[in-house]
Amino acid sequence: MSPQKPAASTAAKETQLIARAQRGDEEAFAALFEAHKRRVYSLCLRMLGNPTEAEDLTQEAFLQLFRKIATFRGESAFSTWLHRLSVNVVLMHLRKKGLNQISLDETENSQGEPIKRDYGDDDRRLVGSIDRIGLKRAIAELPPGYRTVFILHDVEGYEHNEIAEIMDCSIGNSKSQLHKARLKLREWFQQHQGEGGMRSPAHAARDAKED
Amino acid sequence: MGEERRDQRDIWGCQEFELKLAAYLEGEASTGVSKHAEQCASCGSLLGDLQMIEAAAKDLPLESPSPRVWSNIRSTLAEEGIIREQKSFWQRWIPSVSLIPRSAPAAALAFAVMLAVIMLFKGDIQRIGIQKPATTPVVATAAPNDLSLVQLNLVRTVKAMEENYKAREATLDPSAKQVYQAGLTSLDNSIQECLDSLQKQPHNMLVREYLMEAYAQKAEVLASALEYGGR
Repeated sequence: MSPQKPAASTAAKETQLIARAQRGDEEAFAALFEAHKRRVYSLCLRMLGNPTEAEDLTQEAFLQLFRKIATFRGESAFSTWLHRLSVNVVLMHLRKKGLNQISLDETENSQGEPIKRDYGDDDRRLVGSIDRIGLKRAIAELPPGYRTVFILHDVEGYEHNEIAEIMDCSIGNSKSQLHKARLKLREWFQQHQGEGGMRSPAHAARDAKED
Repeated sequence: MGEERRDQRDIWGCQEFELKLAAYLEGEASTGVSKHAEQCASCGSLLGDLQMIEAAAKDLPLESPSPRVWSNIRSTLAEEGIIREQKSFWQRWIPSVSLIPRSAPAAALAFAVMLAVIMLFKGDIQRIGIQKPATTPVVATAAPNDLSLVQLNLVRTVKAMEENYKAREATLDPSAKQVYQAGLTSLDNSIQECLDSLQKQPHNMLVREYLMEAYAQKAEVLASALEYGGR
């Protein structure tokens, strides 16, 4: 079977669902929600770090989308549209909270001390592989500007030009924030070695086998 | 003297490596970076760790929101008239029963089964009669005042639906009304138990989750009763 077939059939099914939702079909709304809820909720949860707020914003993103669904003409993929809308809902929420967490030009100077590295024996490699729970904790503790760029790029797969457009900053700025975010995460793991943030090589090998 | 000069050159190499590292990780070809990483343990560690972090980020699992998010979206869409073609009575019941999470009150499942039996054998049950439930559902005490927006919306929706149901319950078929009341009473009891527990342990998240599940299921039962009553 051609590998394109399942993707094409999924896309066709989604197009049908969108057409039915545009007519106000409850079942179609439910199916669209079911298909995309995990990605939207996970994005909100990672960017906010708070399950209650993440649920509120998931609800808000889907409501905004369903209210506008009659205007969807299929110029871009439905999931791209929904995802971009969800990112905007979260960024708007952060702006409203007054945390100014989304201005990267400001965060250049407001994310704490620059990350310095010792050249030599003190800069040891992390032992084992990175545990998912540890990574979630580490991301939650990142300064907000770093966190946003890291999630958008490394977790959600956005390109720097897209992030620059979403965040209204330069591409260079997005790249620089991402690099600093990764360095901060490494620093976090170095400080939390042995606290459960890392998996031992034996654990990692066992998990890889199970996968 | 010679050793000092070599140290300076090595440190310069590390600084150059750091300057080019971000671009290298973005996919820009640089033999200098990879060569230096092979020769310098410290920079090799840094490169390896950052690549490991990048790979781990792509592997983060997705998480699911609780069922009340859809419950609230659905009721808002219905209120705003965006949902125009509603599911039939059975279409609405069957998927929602299959979606009931493990922690849901068993009473709601029992209610769904009982309702199905009633609908199939309405005449026989009317003749035989079933145990009469309390005529007025248990009135639950006030919900906790620190609920999220989503949770508050759900509680408000349930209250509004309940008022609507009370206004229409006289028009319901007596046997269906008995079943709906039995289901609602059972869910109200579950809600009351949760509220009592929360008074003792306000921060017990499991009880809180259980409470919201009970509210979500009450909303389903009320929606089904209102739809049935509207026929």
